Amino acid sequence: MRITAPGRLVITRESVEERLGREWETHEFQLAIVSYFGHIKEWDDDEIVIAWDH
Amino acid sequence: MKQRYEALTRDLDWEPSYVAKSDVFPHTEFEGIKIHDWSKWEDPFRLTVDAYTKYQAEKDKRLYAVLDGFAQSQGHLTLTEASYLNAMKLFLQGVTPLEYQAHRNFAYLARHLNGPGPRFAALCQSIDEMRHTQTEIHTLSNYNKYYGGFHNYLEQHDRVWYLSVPKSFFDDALTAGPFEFLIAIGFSFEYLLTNLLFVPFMSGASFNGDLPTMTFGFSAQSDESRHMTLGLEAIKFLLEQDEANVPIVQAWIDKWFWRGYRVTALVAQMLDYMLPRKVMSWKEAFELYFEEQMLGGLFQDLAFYGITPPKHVDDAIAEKEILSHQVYWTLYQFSHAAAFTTTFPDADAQTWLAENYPGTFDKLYKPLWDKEARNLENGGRHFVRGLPQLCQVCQIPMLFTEPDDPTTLCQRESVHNGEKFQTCSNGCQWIFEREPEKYVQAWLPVHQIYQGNCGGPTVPDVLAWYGIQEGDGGEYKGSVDDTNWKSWHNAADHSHIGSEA
Amino acid sequence: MQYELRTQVIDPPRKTFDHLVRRYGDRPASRYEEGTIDIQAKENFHYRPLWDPAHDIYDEAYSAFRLTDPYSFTDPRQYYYAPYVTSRAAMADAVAATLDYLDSRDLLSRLPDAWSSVMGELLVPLRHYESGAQMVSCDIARFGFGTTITQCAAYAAFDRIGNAQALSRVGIALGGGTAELLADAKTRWVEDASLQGLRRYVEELFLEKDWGRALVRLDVADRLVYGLFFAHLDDAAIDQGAGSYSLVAQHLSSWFADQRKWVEALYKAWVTDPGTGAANTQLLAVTTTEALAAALVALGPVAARADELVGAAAAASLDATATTIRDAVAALTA
Repeated sequence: MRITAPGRLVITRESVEERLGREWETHEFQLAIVSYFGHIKEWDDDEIVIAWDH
Repeated sequence: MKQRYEALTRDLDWEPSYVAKSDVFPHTEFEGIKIHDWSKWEDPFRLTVDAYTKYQAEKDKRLYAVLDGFAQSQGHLTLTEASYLNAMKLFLQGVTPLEYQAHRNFAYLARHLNGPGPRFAALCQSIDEMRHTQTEIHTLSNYNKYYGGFHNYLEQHDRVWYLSVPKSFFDDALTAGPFEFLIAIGFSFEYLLTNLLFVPFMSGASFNGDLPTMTFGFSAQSDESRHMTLGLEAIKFLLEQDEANVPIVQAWIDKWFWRGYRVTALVAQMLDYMLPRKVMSWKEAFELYFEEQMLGGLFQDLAFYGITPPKHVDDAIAEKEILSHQVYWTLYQFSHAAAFTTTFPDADAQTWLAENYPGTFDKLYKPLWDKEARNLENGGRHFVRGLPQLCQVCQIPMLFTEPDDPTTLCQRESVHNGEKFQTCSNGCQWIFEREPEKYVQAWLPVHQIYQGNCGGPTVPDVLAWYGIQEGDGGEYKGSVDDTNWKSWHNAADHSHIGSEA
Repeated sequence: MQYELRTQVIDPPRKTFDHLVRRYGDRPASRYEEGTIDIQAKENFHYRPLWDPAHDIYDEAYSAFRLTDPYSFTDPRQYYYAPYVTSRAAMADAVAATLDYLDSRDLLSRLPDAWSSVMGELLVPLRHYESGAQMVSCDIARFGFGTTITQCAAYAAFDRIGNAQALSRVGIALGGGTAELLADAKTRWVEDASLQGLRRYVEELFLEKDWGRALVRLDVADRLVYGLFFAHLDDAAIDQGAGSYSLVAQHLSSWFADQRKWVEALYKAWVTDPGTGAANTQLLAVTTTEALAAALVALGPVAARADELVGAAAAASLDATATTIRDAVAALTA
């Protein structure tokens, strides 16, 4: 599965937990990702933000 | 998370006072890079040791379960074809030792960069690279038990002519200073070219029934997302610290794009010729992973700092429809001196090539294969008995053509201290002339053979020195792998199957 | 048909890679061996480092300590990446469980004041010692000769950051959930008279270019530091009703036991090498003796301060560890 978004992509803990129906730590994203392109701007407890700076 | 990470990791540093700081970090001055404030280094991952070990242990648990299951169930027999493994032979011989080189030199960065943030990120990457080295070896170890070409990959990486291409590339990076290494490997290799280099191998694996390689590859790619981030942070940090860094970084991008791009020539021919079941053409991969993602995305972002796309990028774009054909045609003719096999692309393969390269295949390369078809009919599979001349920089045989003319060989000559040096392209010539003192040192396999340093004067002497055994190289059809593969599949109803080797 | 095939037995033509067959004979190799032995490139390096043209990329001349065959040393723990991170994930879980427990029972604030001071003034600042040890270990991981050695050093470097982070978390817990005590510990590391000897020792170690000597010098200091903080003071804490100190100390003490396994094995490989053993033995004796003298100077004030705070005969314990190290040196050269 490939996901693309123009400019900015945000993955929030809340929305993933809602879909999975269980607790989910953002670090778990590492177990799911197989390749990526862009700029990981923020990665904290609540969200992962992939966006260009300029 | 951010405060916790800052407290746990970044604040560990202190200003030395019993010794001079410049003696503690003796390597971060000579390259001319100016850093005013190391604390400006951003690390979006904010990984701590406990989180790191938790998720990495989980990833490896999953991976090794797949490897064990595949080995126990004779999963190798479910590959599309034994010839698929040529791609993996090339990977183990050419790429795995580079992972190890990266491991060692990220440890160097984890010691020699002045800031604790980048040092910790480099240390994580260093042990990740050890992970990649080992998971690749452990994945391909199972194939080594049954198939040729894998068994002597370490010695071959140090010795064999086509493997000096990746080896010299990484040696070049390891012998540079810490900042150049960051741009060479952290940025250019791990960001600019990583998808182009790795995703084709992993997709090739998934299309050809190689579940273990696909699993290790995707598992490694999840580490890559951290490595790509480090590379991108590195370049932004250098560019933001001082305007005087911009031209230095630009020149490194120019150099390392071309250096890395030349290494991907091996990936190009792998995609178009080595995979029994094709994934995508090199041209398509190049357009997606390089032109669209990098030129269309990354360099738009970097333009803010005054960074422009790499010098010679147009030459790379111009050859996207000819590169794989030229490289494979050369490897086809020299594979008797290699630890992988090659074979004539059959009618289906040629149809696929013609469809994917409508502008070039039928016109320029089909005639070569038609001629070879006649040789084969007459029982004369073509191998070149001589030795090719190698480019002084990328060390690929001088097989590339002029940027605007695919029928004329490109040959550039430079003179250094009264001696002539040959390069394969404008890009390699430019790199040579920028640092001739470095590139004249190159251990060029063909020169070394002529000088008698490679086991002896004859081809069999050299092949023995390479540790190449019967069946490792040459023609695939009728090879040991091909014969075993057929007998293993034909003997499905026998209770015990032996091998031919 | 594939299902049938899977039930068949095929004798594999090969058991493992050529370099392992040459070394160990024609037998299957372990994952540790396949992932470690002979991995470092051996020959035909293309260029010399710009920052050190006198050496090759990997060069045994980076240390006076030599092994005729660098792979005569192997890690007794047989750590390659997967078992290494698995073991460390378990260690991190154990540390987290201890900290949660201390926190839930509010045990750190119930420590006797003197022990609270030992932790805040002396233990928590050791996070900087660990951070320094990480840098030294990284140098060994880059410039050491042979993957069996450098792999141990790289994991050790990562362990040291793990230790520093664990001590930082103790500091945060001790500071009631704030990083104040960490800032305080850093000031102490840089300014407190009792810690300056140790800081000086670490800074001088940064300048050691010979990775083998750096390894020995770090190990000598480690033996004194870990002997003092995580063996001797651990006992004293239990005697004096400061059990939560001991709950923390157990993790570092068990880590150090693990660490010393490979260091001791490397010493043994050095001194028993048929070709270089005699020279290595001399070097090890001299380096250890010099390092011990310097480390005692560095740690004397630390022990003295601990004794001022909790009267635990820390100085005497330091001398006892020193005697053990001297005896080991004497046994080497006997």
